[in-house]
Amino acid sequence: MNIWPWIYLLRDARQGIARYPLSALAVVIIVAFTAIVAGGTGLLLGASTSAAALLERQAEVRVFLRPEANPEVVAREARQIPGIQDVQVISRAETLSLMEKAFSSRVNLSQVFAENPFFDSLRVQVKDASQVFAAVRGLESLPGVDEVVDAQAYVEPLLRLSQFLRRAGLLAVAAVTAVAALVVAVTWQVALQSRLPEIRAKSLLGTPPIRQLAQASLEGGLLGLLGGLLAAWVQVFYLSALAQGLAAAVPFFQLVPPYGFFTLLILLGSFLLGSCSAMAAAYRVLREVD
Amino acid sequence: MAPDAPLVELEKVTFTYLGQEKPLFKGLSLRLQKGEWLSITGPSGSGKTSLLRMLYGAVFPLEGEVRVLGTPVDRRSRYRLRRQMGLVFQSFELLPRKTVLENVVYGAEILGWPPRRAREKAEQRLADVGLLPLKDRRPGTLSGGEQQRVGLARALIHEPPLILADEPTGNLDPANARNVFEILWELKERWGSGVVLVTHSRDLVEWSQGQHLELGRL
Repeated sequence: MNIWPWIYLLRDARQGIARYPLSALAVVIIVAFTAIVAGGTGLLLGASTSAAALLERQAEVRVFLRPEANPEVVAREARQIPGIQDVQVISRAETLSLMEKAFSSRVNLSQVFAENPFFDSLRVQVKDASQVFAAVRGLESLPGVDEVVDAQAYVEPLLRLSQFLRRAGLLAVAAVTAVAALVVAVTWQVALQSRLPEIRAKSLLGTPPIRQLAQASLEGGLLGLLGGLLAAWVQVFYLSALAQGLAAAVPFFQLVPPYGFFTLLILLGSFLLGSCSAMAAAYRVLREVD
Repeated sequence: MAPDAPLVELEKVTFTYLGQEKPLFKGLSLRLQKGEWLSITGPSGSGKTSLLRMLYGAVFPLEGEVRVLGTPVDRRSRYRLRRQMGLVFQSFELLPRKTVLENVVYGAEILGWPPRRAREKAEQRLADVGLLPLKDRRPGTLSGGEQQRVGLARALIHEPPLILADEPTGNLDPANARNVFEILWELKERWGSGVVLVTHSRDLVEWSQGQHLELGRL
């Protein structure tokens, strides 16, 4: 196999980039910006997905009992309700102890109250979020139950918001990528117009269009990769720090980005964005030449 | 390709540009054998350049068949055929950022030759056209005649069996034009190539003593 055409192709691609540094820089910046937007949205979507998953797992219900109720009896009856996975009795002494710990920095509860003001309660684990509503109904109907508290009232709107944000984020990324692809293609087309004599000469000397397309695609891909590297650097050092800050500030917002895969995806996406846009531009220019 | 097969064969070719009703030429047939010289003349708009473009697959006939080097010229074969022939143009088509030597080497690189062989052949061809001393110059610093000789060296680096030339001396003064033709003639004689030349010059047609096709307006 003759490898020389491929070596010449690589050299021509490198020279092509070096000859038009401003258009090359423009492509790198556009691709980097797109990759940062897409990557940042990806990171936030990943975080919101994990937050949503966490919320979906919040199938825990608290049951507060009347003073006269026997917690063990109510717990036994509660375990018979369909959808309930586990029931744990929290005695009033345990509740007081927990509260003392929670308020220890501000007040000593045992000094404030002459006797324990809390009642016994049950911590009920429902099998999944979809069964919470029925389980709550069942628990409320049990004798000795004073109040049933569950998180469904705010979990569902949060889940809906998370789903909306996911859809909107994906649409925004698609729109930004499409605009970037068009801008990169136009930048390439302008750059290729100034190379028309070279393209025409190559064509007349018998260079098949596929090789000219391959050269443009390689040049675009290399510049895209540079943009991707820039974007990956920004993601890893800045955006993820921002997202971790958010994670610390917002409950349920956990950020565990798969860095290796995530970076690989950004690099591959940037390479493809640069490569395909350049190829599309070269295709149009070649059609004019021959 | 069979050894005695014609280099160029046109069979009842009719050509018209898209959107035009009147053909530039109709039912044209011709043959060019190895070592022959064909000059094509005619007034502007008679289809001289179109006929040549048809031979390297830039345009295609409405009717009839065009065979070059034994192969029908179509969209798939045209680039392979171009690599086998030598194309010389009035506008030189040189790459301004490359040196004279790099321009000529470029012709060989498109053929996939390794660098050493490409460079040796390029220097040899530049010597043939008398430009070896100027090999490190850029095309923009050369005269029109010199640029055309660089174009000639690049097109003929691979000793093509068929040379197509479209008014290669159109931009040159008579002395330079004569010089380019003498080089073309000498290389053709050396390799036994066939030449198809589009020209306005009656003198050159007579000087070449080859076949002559005069196109007129239909």
